[in-house]
Amino acid sequence: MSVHDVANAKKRKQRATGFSEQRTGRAFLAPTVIILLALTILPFLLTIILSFSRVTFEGGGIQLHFAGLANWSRLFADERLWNAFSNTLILVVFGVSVQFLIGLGLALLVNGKIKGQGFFKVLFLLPMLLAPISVGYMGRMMFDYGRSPINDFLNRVGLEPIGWLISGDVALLTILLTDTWQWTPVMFLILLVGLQAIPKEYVEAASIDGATGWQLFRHITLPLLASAVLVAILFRTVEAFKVVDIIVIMTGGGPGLGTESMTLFAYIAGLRIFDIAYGAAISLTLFIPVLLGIGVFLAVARRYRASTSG
Amino acid sequence: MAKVVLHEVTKKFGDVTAVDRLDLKVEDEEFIVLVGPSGCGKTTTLRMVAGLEEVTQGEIYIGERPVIDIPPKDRDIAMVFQNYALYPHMSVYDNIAFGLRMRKVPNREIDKRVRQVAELLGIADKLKRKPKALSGGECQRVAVGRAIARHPEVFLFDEPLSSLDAKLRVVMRAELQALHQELKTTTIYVTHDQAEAMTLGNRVAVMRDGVMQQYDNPQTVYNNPVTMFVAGFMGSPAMNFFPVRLTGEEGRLYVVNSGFKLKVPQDKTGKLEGYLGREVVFGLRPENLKTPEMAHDHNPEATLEARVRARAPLGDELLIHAETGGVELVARLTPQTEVAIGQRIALVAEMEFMHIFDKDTEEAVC
Repeated sequence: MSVHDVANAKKRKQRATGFSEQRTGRAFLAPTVIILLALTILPFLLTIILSFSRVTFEGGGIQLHFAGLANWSRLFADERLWNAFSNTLILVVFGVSVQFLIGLGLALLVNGKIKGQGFFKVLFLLPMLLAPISVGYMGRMMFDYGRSPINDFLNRVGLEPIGWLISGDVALLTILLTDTWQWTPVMFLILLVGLQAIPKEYVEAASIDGATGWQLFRHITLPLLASAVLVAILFRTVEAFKVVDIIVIMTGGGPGLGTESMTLFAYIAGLRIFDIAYGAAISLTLFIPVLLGIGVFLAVARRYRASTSG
Repeated sequence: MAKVVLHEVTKKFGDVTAVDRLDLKVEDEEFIVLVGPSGCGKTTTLRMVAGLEEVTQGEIYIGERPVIDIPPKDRDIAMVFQNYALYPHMSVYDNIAFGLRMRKVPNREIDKRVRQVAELLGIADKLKRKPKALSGGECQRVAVGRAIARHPEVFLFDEPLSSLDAKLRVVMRAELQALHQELKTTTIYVTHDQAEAMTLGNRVAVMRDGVMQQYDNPQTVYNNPVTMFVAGFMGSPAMNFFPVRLTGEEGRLYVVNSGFKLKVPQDKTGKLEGYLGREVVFGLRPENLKTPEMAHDHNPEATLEARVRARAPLGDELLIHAETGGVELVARLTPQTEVAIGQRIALVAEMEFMHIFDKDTEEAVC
């Protein structure tokens, strides 16, 4: 056998094992792919079809009739959509920003030389561990107009009680506060893990190089934390777009439609009023801005990372 | 430039004393090496000088200034870390410039200094690269460049060559030496590699368990180790130690064990009189054991017999591991020496290079 033959035989063998490895790999992936198709992709396609249909229930069954753009043209003329959309957007933009800033602040504090780190970690993570329903009930009790500790406190210090859940100007802010209380821990957790993964030599080298406080954070910590920031914001943004549970419990979308989110609107239209096709169209309108938003965010993040890392 | 003085410096981590009342004086423009095995406190000492570790007790002076309450950035030091700690998100240029920018040096001056340093270290064509795209040796140069661009009073090196391969290590060692010749910046260099310590240091401080054992120029540390630990640590292969009894006959002294009886040279007997009849440790370096042909000497009072157990031909020399009187020894012989495993050979001990250590205190007697 010449050297050439040996090399060829080697290649053949690699190709052969590579092939069988690929097949085994696919076999292992198959169940997941099938379940995903059945539970995610198919319903998603069905939703798209639904949004272009008129639904009738005759003889106990469900019939779809092609309705063209009827649902869509009705939807875009519906003021309730724009109300729900702007409420959701406010909750996403302000909620995620505030949660990010507080989460980052807490993570930086806990990551520093602080005594009782373990205690603070658990304390800060607690809200995340509660079911949103419980958080909703807590929010409802804390922010009740007549009997809540918060208004009682305001009363005692001589301030007017606030209609946290019943005033149209404030209710959305109250939802934002409660959402922030529950979900800041997620930011905190992801950012803390990110901070702890930064080798301390970088910070030490920079502190010898003369960087202090803000400079250290701006030039060393933040760029090295970029991946964690990306994950945290993405994760929370996607979740925040879908906000519904605490709203249902705390205000039911009210007062009026003051706190109705997109998901709640879709739920009410589709499953309360039982206009399934309309509900499908609403939920798709939520999907498109989320996708767009994430796309833009990822593109910006990628550019930032390309400019800061090699 | 500045001198560095550590006065009775102690560092405790909880109950563990990492550094114990260390006194160290580094003269202006001097290059000293802290050497010792892992956990001896050498890196902790360096980090205390840098200000990265608090001092439990004692005082550190850089120049005339006590510095233990001064933050790292104001100590006018630069440090090269074991894993380089190059900022991964910055280019080579920005890595070197970072310290200058933080100190608000004007941009034109920064540019000039970065290019100067890059030229000096041979990395001028790499300035735009990120650390990820550099080889180990290049990373090393950037780390050094970052330190020297700031023109600090003192350089601190924490095992900077330990992650390079053996060949590159030798090259970088020579470069660091040349760099010090040129810049003359006071340098404290930490390593666990005794060969690095010997070649680089004007003086070498050998540490063990947080305590300084000996601080002197490399040749003195090698030739006159003050403790068994220093004797065993400096030099490779390590010094041979034999438990022996010191006996006297007709005014002559001998070191005796079950395998040999060797005469102590006359000039050494003075210091040993107090140990007559006692058990001591006799030390001799591998290069001071020779075949009679090599030594041109057949003096039976300086010859021992040993049985060869293993041989390691290294090309330019032949190391043999042999056994005499139940003790293992290593001898460094010329590569031409013909010995087989299992063979008994005669070895001449160059007794003028012998060491005697107190068995209990492990301190050198002579």
